[in-house]
Amino acid sequence: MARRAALLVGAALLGVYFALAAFSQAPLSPAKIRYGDKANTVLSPYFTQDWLLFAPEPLADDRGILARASCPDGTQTPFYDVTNPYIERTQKDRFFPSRMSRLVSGGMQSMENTDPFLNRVRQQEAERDKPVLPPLPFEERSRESAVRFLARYSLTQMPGACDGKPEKVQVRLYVHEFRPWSKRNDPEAKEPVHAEDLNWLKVGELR
Amino acid sequence: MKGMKGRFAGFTALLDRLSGSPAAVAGVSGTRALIGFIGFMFYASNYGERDYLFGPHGVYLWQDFIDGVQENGTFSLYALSTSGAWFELVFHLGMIAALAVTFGVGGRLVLAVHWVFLWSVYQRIPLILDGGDNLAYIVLPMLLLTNCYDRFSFSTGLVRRWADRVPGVVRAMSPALHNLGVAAVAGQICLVYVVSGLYKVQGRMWQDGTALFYVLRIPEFEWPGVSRLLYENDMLVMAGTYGATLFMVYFPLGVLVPSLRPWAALGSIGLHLSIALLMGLTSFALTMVACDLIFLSKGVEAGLRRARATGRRLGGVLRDRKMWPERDAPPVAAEHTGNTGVLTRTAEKMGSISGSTEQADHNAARTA
Repeated sequence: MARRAALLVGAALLGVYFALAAFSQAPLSPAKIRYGDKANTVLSPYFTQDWLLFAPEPLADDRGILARASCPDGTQTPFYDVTNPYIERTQKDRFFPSRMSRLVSGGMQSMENTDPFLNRVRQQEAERDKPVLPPLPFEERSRESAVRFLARYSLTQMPGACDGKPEKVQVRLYVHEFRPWSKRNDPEAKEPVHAEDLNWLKVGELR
Repeated sequence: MKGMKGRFAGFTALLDRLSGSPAAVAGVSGTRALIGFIGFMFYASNYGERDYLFGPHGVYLWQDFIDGVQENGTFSLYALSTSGAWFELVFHLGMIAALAVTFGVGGRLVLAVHWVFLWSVYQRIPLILDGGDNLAYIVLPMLLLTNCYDRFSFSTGLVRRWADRVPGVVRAMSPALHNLGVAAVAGQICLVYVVSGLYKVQGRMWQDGTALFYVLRIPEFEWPGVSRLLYENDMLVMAGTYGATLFMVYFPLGVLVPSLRPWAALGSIGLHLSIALLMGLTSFALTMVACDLIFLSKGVEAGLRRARATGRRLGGVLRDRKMWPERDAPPVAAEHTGNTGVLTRTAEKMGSISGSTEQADHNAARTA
């Protein structure tokens, strides 16, 4: 009797769990806008999940950061490549590579942390040539935190800059677009690089 | 009325069958061992940078870490103190717990402890986590329900003695709980596949069959010299992109049909070993493989039996060899050279009267 009861109760709980988990992963819908937060509250934090895994659109570019420092005497260092040394290390190690290379990719990804609903609203506004909804306070906070993290990371990757006493640090984001599939055999095809320089941040605020 | 009674009897018979004996014990034991190993490798592969990544003065600001923990309403052992010694203690204990789970030491209590340490280290810097880590922290509590220490484990005796003290009613529920745990892992892996597959179906690059062309060029996932061979071959790009998407969408159907189940699991293992090798996502890929093992339990069990039989045969062959010392022969006292009795006896049997360690070691090595 106890065995049967355990099985029935357990199966019911499992059913509820999978219903909530599947709902949390469902595409945006009116039902999800209304009840999605409730499902996430039940699952969070120990059963929070995200199974997009390179979907719906995988990255189609090489993105990273460069960084430079401003010294007490007013001079500025050249930009340091603080992304590729760890990427190269990862490429050489096929068996459980260190996670160091994810600091930049993870940091850049968290700059874009937003809500799928807001994403869709902005997409529709852009398609209709309407003014796009500006970032909401929580999005700004998330971006600021990610920018601070990237600056702090960069600072640790250029210990020799300004003889170890930089005053400020600036991060440059770059996105190197891959040539599209349709032009894969075209040697003349362009692979443009876009860059965005973030604000200078005082070193004292990063420590 | 009679029909209803019959249906009820059929239902209770089904419940008895599902709660009577544990299913996929070898498979789920393999899942536990492999997830333990992956957890251990998380610590080991970042060992050199542990202070930088996870330490109190690490790259991820302490205050951001504490804010994140509080915002999520969770915990992390690393948040308890800013002392370097505490950090080292928690990190190394976590490493030991992961190793104990890999080798099946300490039973489910240690598995729960491993989850606490792993969750703690994940919370310290969430930026570096991936889908494999996500799957691991979800599946570990599910494994706590199962008899995942029945294979691939060292029994310490202590756990067995504790188990003997568990009340009979609770012990009787063990197969039911085990099967629920196995069903939970199976359901979870199917959810991962279906969600990932269906989102891919919606993506333009996956629809075009060109997604791999872009993914394999991302430097973080590129294998220099090898990836190019794949993404420059149109047929391989298309076959890989469509093959992966179709496989993910139909995986649950594959595991629902018993005759297709091992093939679906083997296909998944093949897919993920390719991902591990080509994209360097070892941790993610092996976590998926670990969960697939529950669908290959019979194969894992048969492999274990064969390994044991081979071990016994090998032992027998070695013992039967002329030079192998008799098992039940009384040990000969070690001589003043420091050799063990067995080594000295072996040396004597081989006609060597030299009592030197070097010669005896050499002879012993020859017998092996």
